[in-house]
Amino acid sequence: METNTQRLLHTFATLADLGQEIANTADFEEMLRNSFHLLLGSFAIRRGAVGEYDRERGELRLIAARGLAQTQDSSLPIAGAHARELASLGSALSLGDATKEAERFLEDHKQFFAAVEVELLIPLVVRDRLIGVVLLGEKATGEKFSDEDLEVLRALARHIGVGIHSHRLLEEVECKAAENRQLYDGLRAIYKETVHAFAAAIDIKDRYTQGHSVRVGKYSEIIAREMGWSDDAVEGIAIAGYLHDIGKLIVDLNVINSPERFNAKESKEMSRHPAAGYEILSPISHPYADIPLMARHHHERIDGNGYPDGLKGDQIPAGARIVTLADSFDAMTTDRPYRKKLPLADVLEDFRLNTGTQFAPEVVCAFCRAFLKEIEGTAKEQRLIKLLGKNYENVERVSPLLTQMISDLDGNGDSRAASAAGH
Amino acid sequence: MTTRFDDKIREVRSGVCVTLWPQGKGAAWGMAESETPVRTRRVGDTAIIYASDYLNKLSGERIERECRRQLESGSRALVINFQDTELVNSIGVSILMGVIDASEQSSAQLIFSDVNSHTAKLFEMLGLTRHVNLAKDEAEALALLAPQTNAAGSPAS
Repeated sequence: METNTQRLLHTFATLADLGQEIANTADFEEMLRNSFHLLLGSFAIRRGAVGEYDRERGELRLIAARGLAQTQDSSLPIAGAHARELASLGSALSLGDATKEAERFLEDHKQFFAAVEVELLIPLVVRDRLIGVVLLGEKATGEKFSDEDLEVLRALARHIGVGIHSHRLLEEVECKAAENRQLYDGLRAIYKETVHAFAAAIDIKDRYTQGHSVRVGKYSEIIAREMGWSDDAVEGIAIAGYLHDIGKLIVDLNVINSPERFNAKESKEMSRHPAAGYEILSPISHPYADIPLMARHHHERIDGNGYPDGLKGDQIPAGARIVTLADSFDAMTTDRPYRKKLPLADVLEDFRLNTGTQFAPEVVCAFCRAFLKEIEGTAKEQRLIKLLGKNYENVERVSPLLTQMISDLDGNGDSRAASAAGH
Repeated sequence: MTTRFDDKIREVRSGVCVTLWPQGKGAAWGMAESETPVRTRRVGDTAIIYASDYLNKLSGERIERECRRQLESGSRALVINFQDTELVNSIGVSILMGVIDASEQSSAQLIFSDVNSHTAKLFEMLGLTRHVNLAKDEAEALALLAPQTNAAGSPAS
């Protein structure tokens, strides 16, 4: 094979290998080291270095090097004007035969170049900007670099420049993504704090149900998690729980704080709050789905006898079905002006009697499972029991009831719901 | 007190190709991640190192490290046997240049043996043969070394 042909084949093989290396975005350091090896190996060059130009610091940092003599410093300050000069060279710079512009640059850094003993400097330029430089020593043949050699080296160096540039862009994108993530997390935190403030404002209006909204949010969260909802959806339903009674803000204060059971007029006034809540929440862009709908439909019943829209069964959003049960549970387990809180057994009996008519069977079943897990100590935390507080002791007494309800609901829950909803 | 950076600078001066500024998680200072032992045997003061079928980055770096280890442990000559090597790419050439530098710095003899014709032409074209002798086989390599080194001893490892 002729030497020229072999030379050509070796160059093509190097270019092909270099292309593969540049595509390795997983490990920048390895990419650069291997690319540098390929560059040296293309002409059997004994020593050299690749440096990355840091525009902000005005400094060239040597990243990979082989066989450089007397490298006291691994960085070289390059002023902005010099960087622009180098970028405009557009070709490899033979240090023994420099142009006038390059002479000035070399003169300013003669100590460095005398120390590293290199013959060639190839600026790495992408979009007219200096990205770095390649410094190369003599060839193993001892011959001078020919014009053809310089063309090949320039082409190889251009690949390395693009590799460094791509890596920088990727780092910038990752940095921006991290910033955006932080910003998003910050906004989410602000949103949650605002929701908590709203929940407190709602509950302050009703002196008998303080903490109700927050508890409903937490009960809803426990039930949704037991039903296998995603973390994001669980967060969403907690928010829905906090805000489900926001419509009470437009209900007459005297009605809300009435010490007696509501009369017909008061009931009508009170029943405005789900739709009012929907109106308040709808214009807001919530980071979670269906928050306004969950507020609107938390007084719907599976049998269609609820309000404001008389939805049945699956017509009621799944989240609203959960909030409905959480709302009722908290209502029954807290003192009201017209009655004391109910014993847990009575609460569960109410659930049992109204499953498939007022409450969704799958929601009741999930609630019972979560409660039982806490009693039996198989849940991570006793969140539900803690929310019930000290007023409910010996909660383990309801274990048999919970077990029975789970057993009853597990097998035929769906058919009961379907028949109640008239499907 | 010397720092890791100082160590790297020393390596640069000694001719090892290193990355001076490791970036990213688990960055290794010029070391290959997985180490497969390089087949080596000693004949007196001479270390014979067997190159793999394709001399590229991983296999090449292992050979370079082994050569340096042999030189540090007192080998006066190195023979790299290319009998299994079909192809040497540019990274391989660069690594062999490093081996040549290391041998010269240690004033050790270096011979490449059993090089196929294609690779021999490549070495000649790139000028490696100005710095290293090629031998037809191991026996010829040892014979070339015999006057200068004590290559007559029995295999040591």
